[in-house]
Amino acid sequence: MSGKELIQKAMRLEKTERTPWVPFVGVHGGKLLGLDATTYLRSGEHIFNGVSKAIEEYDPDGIPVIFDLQVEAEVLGCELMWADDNPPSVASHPLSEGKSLDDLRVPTLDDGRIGMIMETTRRLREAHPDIALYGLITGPFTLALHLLGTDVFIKMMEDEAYVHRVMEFGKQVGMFMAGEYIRNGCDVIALVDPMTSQISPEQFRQFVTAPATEIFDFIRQRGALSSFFVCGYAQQNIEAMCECRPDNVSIDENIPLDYVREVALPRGVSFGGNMKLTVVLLMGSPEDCQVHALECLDQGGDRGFILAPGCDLPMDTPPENLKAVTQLVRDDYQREVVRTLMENQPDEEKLPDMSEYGQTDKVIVDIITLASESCAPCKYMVDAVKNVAPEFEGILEWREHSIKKMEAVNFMNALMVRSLPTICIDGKIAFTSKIPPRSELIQAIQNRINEKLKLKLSQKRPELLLFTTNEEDEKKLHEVTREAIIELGADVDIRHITDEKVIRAYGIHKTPAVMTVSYKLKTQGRIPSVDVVREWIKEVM
Amino acid sequence: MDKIPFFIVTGFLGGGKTTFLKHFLHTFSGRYRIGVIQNEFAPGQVDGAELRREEEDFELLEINKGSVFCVCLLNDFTRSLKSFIEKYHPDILLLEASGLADPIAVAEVLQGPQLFPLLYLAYIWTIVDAENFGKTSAMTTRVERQVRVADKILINKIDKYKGPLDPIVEKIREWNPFAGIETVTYARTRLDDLEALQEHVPVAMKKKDEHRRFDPLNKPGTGTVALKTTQPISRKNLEAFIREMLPLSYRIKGTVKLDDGNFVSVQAVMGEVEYKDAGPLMQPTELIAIGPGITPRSFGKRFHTYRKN
Repeated sequence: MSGKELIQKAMRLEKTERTPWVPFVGVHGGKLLGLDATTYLRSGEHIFNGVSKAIEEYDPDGIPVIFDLQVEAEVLGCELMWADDNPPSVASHPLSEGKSLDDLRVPTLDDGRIGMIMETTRRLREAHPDIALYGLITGPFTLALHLLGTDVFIKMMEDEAYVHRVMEFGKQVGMFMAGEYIRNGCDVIALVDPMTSQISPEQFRQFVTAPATEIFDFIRQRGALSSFFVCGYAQQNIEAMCECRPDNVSIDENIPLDYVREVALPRGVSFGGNMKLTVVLLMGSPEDCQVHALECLDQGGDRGFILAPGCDLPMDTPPENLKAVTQLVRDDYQREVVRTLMENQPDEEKLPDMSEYGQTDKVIVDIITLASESCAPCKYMVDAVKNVAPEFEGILEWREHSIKKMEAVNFMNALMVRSLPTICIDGKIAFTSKIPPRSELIQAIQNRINEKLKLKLSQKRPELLLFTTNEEDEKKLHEVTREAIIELGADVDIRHITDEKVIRAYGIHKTPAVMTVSYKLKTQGRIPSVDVVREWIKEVM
Repeated sequence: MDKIPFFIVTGFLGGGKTTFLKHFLHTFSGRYRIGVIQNEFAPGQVDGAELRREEEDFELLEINKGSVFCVCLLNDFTRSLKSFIEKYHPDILLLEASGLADPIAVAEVLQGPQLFPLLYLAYIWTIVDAENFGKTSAMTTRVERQVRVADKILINKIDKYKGPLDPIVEKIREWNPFAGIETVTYARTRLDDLEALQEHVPVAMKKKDEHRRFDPLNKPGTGTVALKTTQPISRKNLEAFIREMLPLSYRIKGTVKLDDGNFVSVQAVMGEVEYKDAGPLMQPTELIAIGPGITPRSFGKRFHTYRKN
């Protein structure tokens, strides 16, 4: 099923095999191309390339053409302040600066960037037929704020009729933009009206409901789907938003998803969101993003829900983070892994320092899995090691760690393993996700054996301590020992100990006596952890 | 290294923020290097150039000169603020926040890895216009949230307002059971004696033999963290969480969503905690904690651990 079909299904409130994922790539597209936001947002060619690159990288089910709520405002006479990392902001408000509403007219394709955007839409449609293309229009209330500034709040109390006129005008602008987007191939029109989070449900119903409803009806008549985007603290208005009959409402982290689900679904409206933009997507790790995405998926459920960020993605959102979300959305196995890890949180205080791990004589192969009894990739990984083990009889020890058990989770974290299944050799990651061919695995183990041998050879040589209390014994013992050493060609030192006190200190009661001493360098340059020292002690006991 | 105290003054356009700002500058610009961050721009609003003409010595950073409507725009904030600090080395930072900006969102940005080592959120003033308070039933949700997050609320323009003050004070008290409330003219509140900023701590809570002066420049290693979540927590677990955080913090305050759907306002200061029921609200949990032993990651982690308990 194509991404477009998946989204259509979700918006019709039909059950889907997996949740669709729509990353709101706006200026982030510029980042993917190495461009600043202003250069990006002003060029159709750049936008086409940026969105195409995002599609290639993130394999989304839907994507917006452009995320810039100043497009209409720019054309209507608002001065814009451009920035390197964000869409521009509006710096002047014509209707508060002497212009009359009658002076304003609904834009045409020749105005500002509108023609360029629609042309880009058309190109994207042709190049990517299977993806749901989103066309974003500025909602009438946010447009009113662009045109009037914060005066609009005062006018809402002192001159309601005027505000209605401004909203009516905003509606017409919205319908024009929606019509053009649809004509050029958009599947979903998103009416983005963040400023509505600033008003109460009463004011919403008084000023926003009528124009918004008309816009959604218009979109419906033209055969496209619609979404009502809002960001900020807008929980109080969700009901009213649903009453406008969009196909979907999309929210940010400030509103709980389960609340929206409970309000929207019974009203026949699908819903979407609400991944945290800054704390998780921008500043978190790929693992954080997967955990958070899974939390959203759980809250959203399997019907009528579309996973999306809360709003326009920050420009610097690391691509790995978005790819991690894609992986989670598409890969059942990965969801299971993340869920298991969520349920077994590693105890950070108990994480052992694994850097000295694997200093014993044997080579230890650890396989970290979800659960080989129930999971195919895990089973194959374990089999690969099992099959190779006979080659290294006596030297190799292998163990499986299933993350369904807590100790495995701690282990996984200590070794900094990120993906499963993974093979570690003597505490270092050797193979991840892909099952290694037999020869490669043998080679890797052999390399480790060679490494350990080298280490051994460079260390202090073993000793033979010869304990004697008279010269005759000393001479004889020395000869015997030397002969043995020569015959073997061994690299061993001899030490004579004749002081009776010292001999007794070694626990020796009868001379002549021989003691062997071997030295194994376990760690250099750092203080080891208790767990590791325990292993060593076990070896010498 | 001492961290820079970061102050926020918020409230509606025309409510008196700029007057407050001037007063602040007048009081401190001789003694401290002040960095002012302005986030509001509208015609008729006093801008940086005008402020400077009045010969106050300060450095100005203008953020998003234009309508701020989105938390997304705060990304730019981190970078701009960091450069500003590196360039001018201010002793104090004061953000004059647009009435539409979200102080908790600002607090979240301040605890990001780049800013957390440099500064801490010290105090929030919310200025409410006595004249327009009744009229702003329109803006009620907005005003309520700004009041909830404040350390002190200044009810301004009481010289122009001829009506009863009690209903206003009552409403504000209902929203914020713990903050200091002052009725003022020209946004004038005692600033020269920063000890006065501790007024909000109820007398019973002040340890009499430990007279702690609030000195914004004497809090080495302090950090401020902000937590925002839509996930509810049980009352019992919340109390356990706060108990754990108490030894690590000077102050914890906020409004928390409980698992029965109601909210509770909490304030913990110098080892003592108070809770007040706040009824059902339509907002996420918002908690701010300030102290020497708190990091954003550990605060959030511990909260969620208790929540899932």
